[in-house]
Formats: sequence, C-alpha cells, structure tokens
Amino acid sequence: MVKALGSEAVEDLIPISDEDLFSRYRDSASPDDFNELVRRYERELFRYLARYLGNPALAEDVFQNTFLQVHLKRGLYEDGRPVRPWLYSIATHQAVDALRKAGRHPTVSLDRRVTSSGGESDPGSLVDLLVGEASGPLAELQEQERREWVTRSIEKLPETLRQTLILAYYQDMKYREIAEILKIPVGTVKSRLHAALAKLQEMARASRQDGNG
Amino acid sequence: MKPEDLLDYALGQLEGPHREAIEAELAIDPAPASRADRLGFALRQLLDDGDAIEPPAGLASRTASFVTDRTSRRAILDFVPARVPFRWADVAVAAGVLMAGLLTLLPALSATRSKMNQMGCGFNLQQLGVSLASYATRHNHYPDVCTKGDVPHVGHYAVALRDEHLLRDLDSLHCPCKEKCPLSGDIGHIDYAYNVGYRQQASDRPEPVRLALPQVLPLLADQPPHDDHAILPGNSPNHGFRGQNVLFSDLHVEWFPTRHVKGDRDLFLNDHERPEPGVSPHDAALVPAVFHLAPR
Repeated sequence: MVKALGSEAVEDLIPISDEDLFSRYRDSASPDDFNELVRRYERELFRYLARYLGNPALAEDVFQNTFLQVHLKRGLYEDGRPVRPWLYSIATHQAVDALRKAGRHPTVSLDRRVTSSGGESDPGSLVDLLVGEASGPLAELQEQERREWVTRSIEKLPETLRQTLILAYYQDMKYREIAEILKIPVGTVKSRLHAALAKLQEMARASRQDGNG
Repeated sequence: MKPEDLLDYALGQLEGPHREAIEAELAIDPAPASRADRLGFALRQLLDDGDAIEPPAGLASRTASFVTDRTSRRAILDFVPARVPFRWADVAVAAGVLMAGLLTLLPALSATRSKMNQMGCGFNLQQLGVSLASYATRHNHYPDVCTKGDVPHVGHYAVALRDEHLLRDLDSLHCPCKEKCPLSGDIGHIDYAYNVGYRQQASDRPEPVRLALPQVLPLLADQPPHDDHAILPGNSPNHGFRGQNVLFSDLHVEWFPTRHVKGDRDLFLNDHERPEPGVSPHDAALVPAVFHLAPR
C-alpha cells in the first residue's frame, strides 16, 4: 500500500497542485502520491508541531500519526477542498490529543502580572502597547538570550493562544485559514492573536522589571 | 490608517488591493510608516525565536514505513469470517434460549391472567349482589327457587332478577375463569351456586332467605363440582379447583381456597351434610343452578 520514498516517479508529481495530488491519492492510494504529500509538508508541518508541542520527539510521533490519519481518512476528502488547512486541522487534533495523553496543560503558568484572561482586545491599545517604547522591553537582552526568552514565553502561553499565534506568525497562515483549521470564527482568531501578543508584551515588561529588580 | 489595518499589515495578514492601498499610504506618509516600522520591530523582538527548526533526517521515509506498518496490522475484527456458515447447533442454541424465555415467561403470564379473571369473577358477584339486594328490598326476601309448580329450580333466581329488570347483563352469570358454555333456554348457563333457602319441616317447600335476618349468610359462590344428583368433593372448577369466590348478604365478596367457610361447615351442604335447603333460617347451602333439587 505505502512504501518508502525513492521512486523516480516522484519528480513527475511536483507540478500538480496539492488538491489534485490528494484527489488522485484518494482514488488510487498510490504510495508515490502519499510519499509526495509527506515530502511537500514534511518541513512546515514538523516545524508547526515542534513549536506547538515544544518537544521534537513528540512532534515526530504526532507527525507520523497525522499522516496515518490522512491515509485512513483519505476517502473523506472532497475534490477542490484546500489540502493545507485540512492537513493542519488533523495535525492540530493529533497534537491536542498528544498533549492530553502527556498530561500537559500549560495554560496557567503565566507570570503573576499577566492577569487578564482575554488579553488586549482593542487593536489601537495593542498597537500603542507594542510601539510605546522605542527600543522595547527586550532590547537589553543579548540576541541569544532574547531568542531563548521568546521560546520559553511562547511555551507558557495558554494553548488556544499559542495555537493561533504559531499558525498566524510562524506558519504564515491567513485568518480565514486559521479559522477553518481551528473551527472558530475569524473574529475569534483575531482576538486570540491580539491577546497572545498583549500577554507576550506584558511578560516581556515583567521580565525586564524582574531583571532590574 | 486604522490601527487594526496597521497590525494586520505588520503580521502579514493583508492581501491584494487592501495590502496595496496600505503600502501606497505608507509610501507617502512618513508618520504611519514610522509607526509600522516600530510595530514590525516590536513584533520581531517579541516573536522571532531565530529557531530554524528542521525535521529530523529520514522523517518522511519513517512516516511512510509507520503508515505501512499500521495499516498492515490486522485488527481483531479482521479475524471474524465475513460469512458465517449455517450450523444447526446455532439454531438449537437459539431455540433453547427462546424456549427458556418462554418457560420463564409463560407461568407468570398465566398467573397474571388467572388473577385478573379471579378479580373479574368477584366483580360479577358484586353486580349480582347489588341486583339481589334490590330484589330483596322490594320483596323482603331474596329470590325464591320455586315459584311455579312444585319442582324447585335453583337457577330461577336469575329469571326473577331479569323479570324485575334487575339483571341487564347476562354475562355476569358467567365466571370469566371458565370457558363460556353455549346459552341454553332464555337465561343460558349459570356458573354460580345460589343459596336455596331453608325448610322449616322436611316436607315444606324451601323458603327464601329473608332480608330481616341479622346474620350474614353466603348468597352466591362459584359452583362446586357436581353431577345431576350429587356434589362432588373439591373446590369449584371455575378457578381450576384452586378455590372459590363467595358473595355474602352484606355484599362483600371474599376468596376462599377451601369449601369450609366457617369452621367445618361446607359452603355447599346444609347442616345435615346434604346439598339441600338449610334446616333452619340460619342454615345455608349454595346449590348449583342446574342441580336436581328433589321436592320433599
């Protein structure tokens, strides 16, 4: 049914769109089509899962389970439906399941000064908050320290905010695609993204104050 | 420029004409352009982790192998044969289960049905009791068993009630526990034995039970097993020989599992142990409706 990569026919598949490729795979269950799909999404989907789960080993397991589900559910795919959001939707569900099985619910481990559960919902206030300081609260950190702080802080965000932020910023997805993946309205996507940014900004300020104190 | 547009632009969420319009506005107006630059810088500061995450080597081939392995494993249901051959043993087991169910259920159904019929019989007797009481109120005594000629006829009580328009439903003369017999004559079959009164002297005609009697006497009951000339031992066949309902002159109906209602006195025999009228006003014997009650 599915075999390892290495077929010469793979090169011929590249010009086909994801949607056409998946329709053909649904009908033929061809190993070459499957391998091409895995190859096309290997990099971006693994990055998404690794950021979201914060654990590369777990991300690999979830990646494999995602494509197992893709294989098992290929009959449900409708012609013309965008493949990318559908794939991300399956991956997100698998990731949520993996986090639940691992007993990880890092939704309340925020700094004590970040108290608002809804975050900053007014874009004007949020923009003012972000551009209020010329150099920003993290300017004093070395570049490597700042990057580590970013990684740690994103891991501390509530799960729903982290999902949205990763999809919007790191995976370059549009609001409507995120709404389709997470099965939520576009307005909710925006408010979650704004809340995530507001929380990160507050965490940055709190971090600077703790560093000074 | 709206702050929301500026934020969406900095996050790369704008597309097409909307994005072009914002870019044109930023190109001619340095204030929002500066604000956009600072916003972009702030976002990079907050979000750029510089982490160029790369998938582990061989992830794609491992995934293909994983999926192949998982889909080739046989689930437990795969071992169930698609078509089960016909076997008589299965039929026997099914039949056995069905029989066991029926054997468990039928006695309960039978008992329930019997109880319902017993209650229906008691209701019949109460209806007849009301009719007899109405008759007795008019005549100061219950219906006679011998009004025409000298031959006593026990079933005459039903004729008397009907003639007085006190018995509208002849079905109340039939015990619901017993299969209905075809109607005969103008009254038909009667399932209840009646109190045939008493004789002051051996040669007298039977006197009906008087209303004025202070004593509570049995008036009607499921009739006993009998032939034309003798009462046979055992309970009434109306309820499968399990007992009989008895109507008393105070109109209460009671179920008795034996013929001996008060002490040793047989419900269907008089004080002389005979299926005949009582030997005193206080003596009572209930006699089947078609029983041959010889005159004295």
